[in-house]
Amino acid sequence: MSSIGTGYDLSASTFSPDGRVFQVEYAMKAVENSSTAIAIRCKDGVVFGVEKLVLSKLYEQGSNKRIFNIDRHVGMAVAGLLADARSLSEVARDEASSFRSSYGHDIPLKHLSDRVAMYVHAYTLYSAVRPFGCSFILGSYDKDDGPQLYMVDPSGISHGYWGCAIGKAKQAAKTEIEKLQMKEMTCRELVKEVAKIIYIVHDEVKDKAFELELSWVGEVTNGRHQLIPEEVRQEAEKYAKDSLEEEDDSDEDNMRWHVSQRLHSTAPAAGESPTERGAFRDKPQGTMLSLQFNHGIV
Amino acid sequence: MEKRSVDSRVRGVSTGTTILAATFDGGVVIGSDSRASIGGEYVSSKTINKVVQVHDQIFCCMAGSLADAQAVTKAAKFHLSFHSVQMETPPLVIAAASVLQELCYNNKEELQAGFITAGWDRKKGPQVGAGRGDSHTGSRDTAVQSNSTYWRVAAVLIPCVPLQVYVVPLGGMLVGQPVTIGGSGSTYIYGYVDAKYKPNMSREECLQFATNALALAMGRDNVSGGVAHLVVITETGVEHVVVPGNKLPKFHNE
Repeated sequence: MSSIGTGYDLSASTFSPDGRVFQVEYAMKAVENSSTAIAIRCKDGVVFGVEKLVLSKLYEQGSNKRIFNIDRHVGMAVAGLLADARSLSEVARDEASSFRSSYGHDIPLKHLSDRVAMYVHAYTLYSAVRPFGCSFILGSYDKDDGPQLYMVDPSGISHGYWGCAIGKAKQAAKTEIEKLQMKEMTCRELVKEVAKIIYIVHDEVKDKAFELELSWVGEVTNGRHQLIPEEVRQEAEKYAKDSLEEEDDSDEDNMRWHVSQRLHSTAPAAGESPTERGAFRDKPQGTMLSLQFNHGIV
Repeated sequence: MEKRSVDSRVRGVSTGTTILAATFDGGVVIGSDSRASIGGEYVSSKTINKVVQVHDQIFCCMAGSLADAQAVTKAAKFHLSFHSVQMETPPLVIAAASVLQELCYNNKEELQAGFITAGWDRKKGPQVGAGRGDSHTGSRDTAVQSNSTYWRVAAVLIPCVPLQVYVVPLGGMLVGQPVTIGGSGSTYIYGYVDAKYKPNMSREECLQFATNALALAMGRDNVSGGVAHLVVITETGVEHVVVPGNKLPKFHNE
């Protein structure tokens, strides 16, 4: 799955002999180095949850938010290079606002997601620019069309989802999400499950402190995208912490802990080939993305 | 050739017009007269259809300079067709009215056209809206005060579920209302419409109401006349009704 593309990875305008565009794949690696963001669509709304790693105690609480508001009814959660994500959120805002100005109503989410995905894709075509190093999840609620959820990745593809996860623990998060019966849940129930999933996939050993960012949009907010109110958040965090303690006592959990350790490991373990993720840091040439691995990834 | 300034009579072929749109229970009726005149002196056509289809279930009525109105509706039709292909769904009535509004407002110096938009969309059902695109504002009132002004407003009547018609008069304003009238002939029927319109009428009642209103306006306004073109738009489709001049309802003074 991951390999070094010697010579064919210098620019996004080059294909490799086996038909891959390495720069785009490297951009996706940048996303995988970032902490996890998930979003789940239930029967009456969409809930977003982001594990925002706090790299220094000196940071002001709540700074460097990873959930953005795009127009009143759309929320966007990001993973990857935060600066890239911020610029894409501005693009999404411009699209939504120009649609509203031309057509007099809220932009439908599929259309917004297609437009932003087209923009992201444009940056994968030329050697003069690099692809965006972030994936993002867009969610909205409309009383006629119901809740919708789309995810866009650095290659410029967008898919609609019932639940999705991006970032370093996306596999573990996806497993947890698949266990939920989200089509029958309401937003209030789902908030607690989302908080729990973030707590589960958070790696206590590698990454110490984190802030849980939660937001929702649905019938409960009358179609407006908002951060979760304080009492709901506290209830959700308490539920998450309590379920984690229960699970720590069970055998099953030890298995999961080991699995999540493997997934989070960035250093090549014994027996792993040197082409695993961590090896990119040593590669001196070519990969434009290797310079960004060490900065700006949250 | 055309002197486009305040208070001048509209030169060139224009529609001294009566247009209206009204919502009823389950749909919208949009209608107009069929006379085109030059300067109010010569009838250049007795049978033009001022009700234009801009999308499958969205129609607009034009008022004002015929050339301007046709150019605007042609552009709007293209724009809406492209928009609906992009969105993979028929456009909302409010979107059609907004498209007309943008055209009217951004070109208000050059245009003398107003619209009533009416139609049906899956979100809001039947709706009516009126929009005016012209540098002269407050045309209805001006028309009453001065005999030589023929401000016409094209209304695009778009039926939607919460019965609302959108009117885009000269200037490019956009307003949604349950019933709206426009054109020079509309000044003669404000009283009738205010007195006789009821929300949630049946289809037949609404058709009769619209025919009566058009007949009364055509009877008094020298630049409105000919036949009454009516289009009924509901969820299931669109139906054209044409009432020839001699079949229009007669009132006591005729």
